[in-house]
This record gives sequence, C-alpha cells and structure tokens, in this order.
Amino acid sequence: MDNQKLSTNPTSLKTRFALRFIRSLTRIKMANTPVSSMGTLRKRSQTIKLAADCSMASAVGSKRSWSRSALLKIRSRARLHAFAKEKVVTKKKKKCNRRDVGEVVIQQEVMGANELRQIVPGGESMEFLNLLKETAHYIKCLNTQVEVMQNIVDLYSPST
Amino acid sequence: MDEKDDFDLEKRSADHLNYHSSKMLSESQFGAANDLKQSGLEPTIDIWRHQNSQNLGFDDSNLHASRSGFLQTGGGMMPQTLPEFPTDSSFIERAARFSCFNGGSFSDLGNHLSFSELMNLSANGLKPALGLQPRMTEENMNEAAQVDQREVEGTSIKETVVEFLRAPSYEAKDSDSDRQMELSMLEVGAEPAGRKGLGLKKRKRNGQDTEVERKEGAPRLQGETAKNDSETKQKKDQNPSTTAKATKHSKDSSKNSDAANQDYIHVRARRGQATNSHSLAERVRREKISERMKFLQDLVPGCNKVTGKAVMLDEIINYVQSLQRQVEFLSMKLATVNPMVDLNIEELLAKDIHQSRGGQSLYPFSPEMNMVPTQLHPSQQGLVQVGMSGTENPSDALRRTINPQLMAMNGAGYKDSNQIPNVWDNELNNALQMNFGNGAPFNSQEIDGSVPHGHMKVEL
Repeated sequence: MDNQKLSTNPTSLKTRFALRFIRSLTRIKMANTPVSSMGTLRKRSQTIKLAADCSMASAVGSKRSWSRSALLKIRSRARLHAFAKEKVVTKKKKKCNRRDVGEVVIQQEVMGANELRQIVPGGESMEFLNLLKETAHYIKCLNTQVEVMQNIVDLYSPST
Repeated sequence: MDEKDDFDLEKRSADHLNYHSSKMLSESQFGAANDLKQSGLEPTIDIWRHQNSQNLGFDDSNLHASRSGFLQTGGGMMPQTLPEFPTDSSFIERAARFSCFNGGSFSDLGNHLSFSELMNLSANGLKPALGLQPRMTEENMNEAAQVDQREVEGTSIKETVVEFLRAPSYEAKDSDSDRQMELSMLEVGAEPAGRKGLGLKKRKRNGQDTEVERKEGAPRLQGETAKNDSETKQKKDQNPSTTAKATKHSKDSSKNSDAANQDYIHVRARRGQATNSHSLAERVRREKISERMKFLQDLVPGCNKVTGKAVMLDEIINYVQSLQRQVEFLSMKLATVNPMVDLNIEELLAKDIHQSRGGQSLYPFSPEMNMVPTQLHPSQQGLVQVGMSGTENPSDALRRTINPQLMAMNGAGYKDSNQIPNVWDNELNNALQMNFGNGAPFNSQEIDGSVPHGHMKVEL
C-alpha cells in the first residue's frame, strides 16, 4: 500500500513482542479444541493473556526488574500447574501472586507508592525511585502490548 | 540485581585505577559513549511512535542536555571532569548492555543506563550527574559565583565541595561516609571552579543567567576539557592540605585524595540552603523523583495539568490498571475469535513450501529477532500495516494460515524446529502479499533485496 510505512525496526520492542506473541498464539490455537462453553472461553482468554504477558516480558528480557520478576512468576506458576492441573487460576489469584513476589516493602516514601508496587510486577522490593523508573518502562511496554494485540484483533475480526 | 552487581564491580575495579589513567580512559570513552547513546536513541522513534514526540524529546534532551549541559557548565574543573567519571563505569555498563542485547536497544537504553547509574549511585548517597544536569548547572553557577566572590564566607560550602570531589572509593564505605565524600567533592569543585572557567563567568552572578552561561560555556568547554582536566588534577592535589583541617570529614577526604576518582555527582548547596550532607543528598533525591514524575507525566496521557506527587501517582496507577484491563479485554477478544475458517490448504502449502525453501536457508530457529532480520523485517511490517489498514484480504489469509490443521500438515514435511517460525513467517508474508498485492514484493525487495521475496512474487 504505502512504501513510506515500511519503517518498522525489526529489533524493536514491538516487533520482538509481536513475534513471540504470535508464536504463542499459534501454539494456543493449535492446542485448543473449538471453544464451546463459557468456561473454556474464559480459560482460553486467561491463557492468551498469560501468553501476552509472557511474550512481553521475554521480549524485554532480563533488562528490567519488572520483566525479570514477571518471568519468574510465570515460570514458577507453570511448574505449579504441571503438578496441579485441576487448579483454576482466577483473576484474584493472579493478583495475589503478583503481591507475593518480591520481598517486604522496605521504603514507602510517598503515599500511593504501595499501590503502585502492587500493580507493577516485582515492585514490592523496589525503592521508590526505581519503582518510578520501572513504572515508566512498564507503561511503555503495556502500550506496545495493547497496540499489537489490537492490531491482531483487527486482523481477525473483519470477517467474523 | 545483576546490573547493580556489575556496576559495583566496575566501580570497585576502577577504584584501583590511577587517577590519570582513569581520566584518560574516561576522556576517550566519553566520546564513544556519546556515540553509543546516540545510536541507541534511534530505535526510540519506532517504539514511541504512538506517544508524544515529547517523550522522544525528553529522552533525547535528557541525555544530551545532561551531557552537553554538563560540559557547558564550565563550573571549572568540577563539571568538566564529571562527565568522564560517570561514563567510566557507565560506559562499561553500556557496553555490556549493548553486547548482551544485540542492538535490541531502545531509547531508554541510554536512559536506562543513566537511571541505573542513578540507582546505583544513589544507593551510595551520590547522585549521577546525568539525570540532574539542568538543576545542578544552576547550582554550580550559583556556587561558583559565590565562591569566586566570597571565598571566606563560602568556606563551608567550599569545603564540602572539595571533599565531595576528592572522594573516589565511595562505594567501599557506608552511606554516611559517602555523603561526606559527596560534600567534599562539592568543595573541590568549588575551588577549581572559582579559579577556572568560571572566572570567565564572573560577570553573571545570579542563577538567572545560567542558560546564557551554559551556552557560552559549551564551545569553550569542549576546547578546554583537556586543559581543565590537568588543572583539576593539580588542584585536587593542592586541596587535601587545605581542606584537611577544614571540616570534620577531612580524614576521609585526605585518604581518598590519592585514590582514583570515580564517577560521582557533584551537588552544590544552593545559596541559603543547608549544606548538611544529608539534606543535600535528600534534595538530590527529591529532584530525581520529581524528574521521573515529570517523565511519567509525559507518558500518561492527560496528566499535564496535574500537579503534586499524590495525585500524579493516582493517575499513574489508574492508567496502568486501565492498560492491564485493556490487555485482558483484548486477550478475551482474541480467545473468542475463531481462526478455523475455510482453509485453502494447498494454496497455503505451496506458499509455505516456497517460503520455507528460502526460509530455511535464512532462518536458524531462534527467538531473537537479530538472527532473522532480513526476512522478518518486511513480514512484521506487513503485520503492522495490515493491522493498521484492517483490510479483509490479509485477515483471511492470516486466519487461514494460522489454522492448526495447516500447521499440522506443514509439520509433517519439515523439522519441528523450523516449523513454527516458518509458518509464522509464511502467514505474515501472505498477509503482506494480500495487503500489498503486486506492490509487496517490490517493497520487500527494495528493503533487503533478498531472493525469497522473489519467491513471493512468483507465487502471487
């Protein structure tokens, strides 16, 4: 269509994330039977969300503390799942997992920092300054994630 | 954290370097570091595409202003020598980063490094120059001016600066002594500042003219850097004797005077403000916090009018939560989308075969983008743009190619390791083809001119 649009950096965060996410999406589609009930739909959406978060974290790599803790959490949960397959991972549980990662809060300089710690993965053990830095990077990555996922959804949706 | 450990190790090893050698080393590194940083900033544009250009400007200006502004300060030796030492270990850190993540550098790579310096140094009570440049410049201006004029009155300030400047092995000590060293460095900086380049700036006393001074200082400084460094060394040697009796931190400073100077942050106490080491460090920390809050403000849309940390934090939290909810919603949407539409297996198989024939030579199975840049480059472009255009053809093709049955068939013919990436690339290339029609192969060829794109052309 437009020659000028072809300026994507192949090594950018967006393309790295897109690569991983689409790979995992295809694996998920491969592994799943057709969605019929609400339960499986929910499960699938959780799996996809997990895949998105995981691919995002791995696209970032170990450079950021939030990505490291997110990957650690996901991998430990995967091991848990291997042993207890009947366990249903609910949203609430995910939130609890996020809080459990990391150590006890050491500093609390500004009110609301704790809330931020709960939201950003791996934030519990960070100082306020580092927390702000990680939050900035995390917001950027979330934006990328949303953008790519939105594009993929747009790809899929027109013909439905 | 790994970064911290590496950084500490580097600092400790630099401890043992001779002052001269470290200075020379960092001088040469500084230019290289700047280049690295600038190269690392280019990918910024892609990542932050949807963001304000302010972000990009912020990253750029933050780094460049900090570096150039630092040089421009001309606050005698002190600021001029500062860029060298931060880059000493930061350069190593940066080099390590660049080697680890093969060119997968974001804009914030440079920023990150400055922040990690911030993190590491702040842990020791010393603040890196980079992040604080604009404010510190002002402070330096003020201080240098005062030192010049009233050397007697500014004794305490001078002393703190001197000691601050001369404290190299700060990381070996606890945070208290670090702060003492910080202050001592401040003193040292003030003295040479008074004698040197700041002599040129004598006419501008108040902080109001700092910008003018900075600009004037820039051309001068770059030429005088080498000269200044040698002078700094001399003055630092002179300082131990003078400041040894000056403050209670004298013992630390005299010990440290011989050791090589590390990267440290020079903070001057502003006029009328307490020069207590703790308050200085706290002020620096507060400034860093406010700087990062500003950065976050740029990230979060619609936060320009919001002032105050608490409200800003709430806004940030809300934004992050909304983004996470958005991801969840999108994942649910993706889950509901049924990819199993009519598939044209033969057509796709043919494409896939052609694709993988060329692809296998080009794609070693690797999760890293760097390994497969040429082929995937137009592929992702296709994906991104197809997403943007939202046309029907690419979505059909993509859906068909993602069909699991198709993948199973592909899997029969090829190795498992190559299967997924090949199919994925095939999907995207199909999307690319569908989207661009005849134009796509031309685009691809323009970009990398690789042969497989010729295959795509044929298939169309």
